[in-house]
Amino acid sequence: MMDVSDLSSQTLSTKMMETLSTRANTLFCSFLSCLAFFAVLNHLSAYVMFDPTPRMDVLEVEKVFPIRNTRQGDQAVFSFNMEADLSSEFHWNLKQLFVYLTASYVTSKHKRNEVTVWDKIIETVDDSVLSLSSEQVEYVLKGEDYLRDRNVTLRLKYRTMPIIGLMREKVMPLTKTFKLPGSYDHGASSR
Amino acid sequence: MNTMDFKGQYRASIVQSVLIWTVGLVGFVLGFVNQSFRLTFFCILGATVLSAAVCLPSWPWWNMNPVQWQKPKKQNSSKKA
Repeated sequence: MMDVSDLSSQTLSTKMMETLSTRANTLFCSFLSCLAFFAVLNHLSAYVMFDPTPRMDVLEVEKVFPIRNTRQGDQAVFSFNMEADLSSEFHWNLKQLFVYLTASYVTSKHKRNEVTVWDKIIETVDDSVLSLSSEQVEYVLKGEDYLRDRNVTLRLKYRTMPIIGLMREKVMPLTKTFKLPGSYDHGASSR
Repeated sequence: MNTMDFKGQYRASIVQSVLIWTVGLVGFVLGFVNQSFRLTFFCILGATVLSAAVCLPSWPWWNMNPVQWQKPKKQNSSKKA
């Protein structure tokens, strides 16, 4: 025979008591709140405690190779020297820096052309002092039309990628303008 | 299976949040000193795992004040019938 009072107390206790999943939910909620709270504090501390003073001492073009005239248009390649110190950008909310060198120039078709000619991802402070000499560009300057005698301006830019927060793009004030050669590389010409 | 009594539930929730937030604060200071938020994260995660082990299962120390149910009334009706 079934004991009615025993059964009712059983159902009562399972309804009133917290279940395992309720407790797990509370625990997970505490974990997330705590993490979010200290993450926001981390983000704010970067504003208050750190004042990045990136330095750039050298930006010069070492060698400009003769322009190649290909079927797609002119192609220009050069090498450069650069010295920059971005170590002051690093603090505990910075995951990495994406550093890139852009070359901007004007052609008859387009008023504004900007090409990333070199880039680097810096993940630690130890790598954040850049000292490059005779570094060849990774990507060539390509023009739909002629690149001869064009003025090219080099600029170092970088993007700060924080752990918590927004990515920022920064531009170094030091620029370098040089003129592309006026003659073609006849040996490599394909036209 | 063991159960957790009402006092045990209350205490477990206090222990759990105090543990996580205290270790979280310690982790924040450690992370700031070492300039590594990874350290802070693992402190909070570690505290969560620890308090999951302590507060999630119905350990006997959460059942030290069990509910005293009333004794079931004697049922005379069945005898009468």
